[in-house]
Amino acid sequence: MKNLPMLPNTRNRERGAVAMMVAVMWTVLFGMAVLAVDFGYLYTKRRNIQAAADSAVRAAMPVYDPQNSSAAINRANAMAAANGYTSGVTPVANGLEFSVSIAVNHPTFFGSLFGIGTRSVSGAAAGRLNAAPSSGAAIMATAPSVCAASPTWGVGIYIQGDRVLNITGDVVSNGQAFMMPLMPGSSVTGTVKTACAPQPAAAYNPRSVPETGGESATGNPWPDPLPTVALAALNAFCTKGTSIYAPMATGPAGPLQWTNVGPCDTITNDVYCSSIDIAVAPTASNSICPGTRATFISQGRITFGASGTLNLQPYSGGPGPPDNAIAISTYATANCGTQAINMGTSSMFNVTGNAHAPNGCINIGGGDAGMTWAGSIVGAHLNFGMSNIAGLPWTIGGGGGGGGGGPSGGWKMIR
Amino acid sequence: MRQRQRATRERSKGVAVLELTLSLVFLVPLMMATLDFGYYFYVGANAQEAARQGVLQAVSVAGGCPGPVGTETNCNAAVANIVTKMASGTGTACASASPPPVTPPAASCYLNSPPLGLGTASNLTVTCKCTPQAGPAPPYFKMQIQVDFRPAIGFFRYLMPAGTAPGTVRYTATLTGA
Repeated sequence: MKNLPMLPNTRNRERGAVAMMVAVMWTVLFGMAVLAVDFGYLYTKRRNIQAAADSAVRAAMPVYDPQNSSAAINRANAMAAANGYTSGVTPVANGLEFSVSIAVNHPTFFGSLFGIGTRSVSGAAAGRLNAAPSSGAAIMATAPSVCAASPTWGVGIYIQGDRVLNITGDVVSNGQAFMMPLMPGSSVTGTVKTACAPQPAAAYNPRSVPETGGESATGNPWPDPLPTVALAALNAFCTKGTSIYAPMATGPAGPLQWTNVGPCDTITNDVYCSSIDIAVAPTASNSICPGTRATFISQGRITFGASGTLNLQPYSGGPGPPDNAIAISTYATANCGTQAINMGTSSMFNVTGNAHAPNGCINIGGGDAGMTWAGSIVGAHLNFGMSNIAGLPWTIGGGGGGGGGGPSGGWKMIR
Repeated sequence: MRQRQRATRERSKGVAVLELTLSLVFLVPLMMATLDFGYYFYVGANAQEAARQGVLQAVSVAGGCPGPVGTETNCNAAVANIVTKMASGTGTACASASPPPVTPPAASCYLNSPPLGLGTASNLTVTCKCTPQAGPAPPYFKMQIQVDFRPAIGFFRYLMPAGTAPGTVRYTATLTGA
């Protein structure tokens, strides 16, 4: 009888206990559902966004120019759009670095029960341009040559023309180094390293071009700053043309096909190889389009000729040639009477990358509208005949080209 | 008195069973959804990574694009070999293989490795397109990986895209890169 009054209280205490347990269990289970479903969904989205950001940076870096990043930004935006991201894409150019971040709001399935209706998912990637070649040589003549009282045409370094010449980096020659830009305002920001130093200034630098590092013969002969070009090693990079041991077919049957895209021509991004001469000349417009990428390797001579702008950059489709070259010729010449690499235009040179002819002459002429060459020009001998028609300066040096990822120039992903 | 106590307990037990049953009606599907969707997105994350690796390998192997400007073209033999490797499901190209592969790990490693083991020709489809952008730009590669697999439980498979084989679901990962 004493227990009777307790019965209603006991029932009251138990009432609602299961509801309480269910409420707690539901909270926990919904929390698990949020973890499994919502976070799983958001994680896969994040992987996709991160991959899209990576792709955007990889597409942009080959054309990234710290001075003018518009081409890289356009390409990054285009690649993000190709992956379905047209908003929330932020490309940022900062010195040698170029980054792309993508942020998108995604709705959640169960998260809204906990007040998480949408969640911002983001990914970011960045690339960095490599520094200029460590040797600092903007131009170099590797072969020894005479050291006479007056310059000898066709050997060592021989530069003349009615033009402003600005060289960022060293001018290096294992023989003579003659520079006579006729326009005032020329400069060399590095050292003129010549085996003939001290050269008679009135004969070899008659326009008194300022040389930041002065003239020096210390350390000569200087080695070729670009990697050794063994034929077998070069052959491994060929993607068009049979190989560097066989002649590349020319004409409609050959691999070097030009595509006209309005005011200029472009060719496929490839490494073109031949055992004989290669002629690179746009067929329809006489200009090579900005953004065109290709590398030419030959045991013969390589000739670039056009009346319009020559926009040249190295191949960028993978592990490219060892020195980010636009052209490598192993052709041997005793002087610049014949040339291993011969480049000419009556308009402008706009080049990113290196030209390399370790056994022969590199001859560059014309450039009425000027030259911007970011990279190195290294040959056994160099002969520059700058146009006598007034125009923009010739600017050479200040970093190699992107693309193949060689030790000089190029770029790398940093995050 | 004891009879009244027993009767009260019996009634309470019935209520608890009823409440538990009603709860389980919601709780069990919730658990199944957790398992099904958790596994679905786990496979999806791996497929995304596989697509990313596939694009990187296509770019490094393919070089230029063989097709005309603006036209999608199947990738060349070098890329197709990677695709074949992905579909073979042998896993011999994976970084964990012994001896390690000379070439970079195939994208399929992300799907072949335990605990997924999905990289068989029957349930993995890889489509590789080589598409030059219009104008002076390098080609880009579109890699699409479709994985057909059996869901963890299958209770919620009707809320997921269906695979070709009965009872399977499909995750499609697509990535374009240059």
